[in-house]
Amino acid sequence: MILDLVKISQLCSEMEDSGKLDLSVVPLIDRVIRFAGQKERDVKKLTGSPDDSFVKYHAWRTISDIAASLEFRFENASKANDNPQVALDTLGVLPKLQGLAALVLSIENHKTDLKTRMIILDQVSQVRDCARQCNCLVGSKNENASVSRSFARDLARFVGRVETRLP
Amino acid sequence: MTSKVFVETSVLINASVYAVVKGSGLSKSIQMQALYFEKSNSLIAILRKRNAEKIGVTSETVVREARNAIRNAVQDEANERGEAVFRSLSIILNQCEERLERNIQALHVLGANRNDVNTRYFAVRKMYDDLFRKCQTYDPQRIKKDAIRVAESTASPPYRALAVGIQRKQMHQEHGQLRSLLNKKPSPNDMMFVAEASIIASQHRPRLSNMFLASTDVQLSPVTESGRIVSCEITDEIFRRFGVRCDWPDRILIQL
Repeated sequence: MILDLVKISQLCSEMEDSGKLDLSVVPLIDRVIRFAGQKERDVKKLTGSPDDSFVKYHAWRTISDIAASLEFRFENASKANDNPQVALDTLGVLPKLQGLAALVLSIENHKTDLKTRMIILDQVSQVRDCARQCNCLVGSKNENASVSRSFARDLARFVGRVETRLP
Repeated sequence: MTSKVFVETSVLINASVYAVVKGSGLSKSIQMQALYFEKSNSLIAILRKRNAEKIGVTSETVVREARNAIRNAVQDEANERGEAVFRSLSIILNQCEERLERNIQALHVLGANRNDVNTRYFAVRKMYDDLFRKCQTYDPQRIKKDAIRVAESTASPPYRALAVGIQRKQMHQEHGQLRSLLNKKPSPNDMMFVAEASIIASQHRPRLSNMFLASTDVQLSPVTESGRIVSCEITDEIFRRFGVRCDWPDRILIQL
């Protein structure tokens, strides 16, 4: 996973220098997506406390979403005249993405405490901000298309929950 | 002369907890929002529009507390309901956090001198201690006695029982904000917000005409009924001692 991200970074630097699109980056990104997707499913099966699993799930889902956006952009770069901007944007988001991946991998066999969970959530938020600025984030449109029918109930419960969490 | 509005956590959260989703798995779009979303969001929208005037301010304490409140709520929910709701919670967390960050950008995060704020914090805490002692004297027995005394001097004997009932209800309402201290003491952060707003106000005087503190917490903002103030003893005392006018976001909006 980390190695794939490093290779993607090297290829993007070369694309930036040459100004030419290199689609050999796509299978590497695809591997990142599949790896993160598998981790998403794995953490759901963890027997520990759900808040611990959720934070790890949220981090892996973010990695997988951003990687999916990168893949989409590379695949459509020729048509959309997105080269070399796509390589530059990818280079902008990769260091943070790599940092987040390294962090969640380092704690995957450990039960996290509240402080660590807050650090992870903070990092996720920073990665998403960075990805948004670099146009490397799946829009809410795609996210919305996959919500289940029970989402309304989940949302209503969350709104109530935040109100009880207000200081 | 200018005004400033210190936005505290409750307003920032209420303006951020909003999600609208329209997806293929749903027959119609879903929209959910926090209880005071409209009131809070309309204030933040104006502060965003007038960003150059630097009217909307907040502090690092508020920003940190707001982020934590949303993240803690998601974790609580995950803990209670398990992996079946992970995907929904992840989407909700993203939407609320994005909105929260946009709202924070509409404000100027100011850092007041920590020593000054800490000194002022103790003055705010002393005020709440004084108010707590005062509220203990407003127990139901005392209110009943006062109501009887007022009714005896204002109502003729046949109507006294009725007058006592009306007086009691009125007094309960009138002291409602103060009496809320009996059930819940303000958090240290609430007191810190008053201290921070007060220090920021003193840094900008004499050019500053009004320092508002926008809050949906009735231990800061007055108790209202259909927009009319029914109880404001704590709010008045904060203004008297620290020059900070606590109020609801929609009420502040019309004063800007």
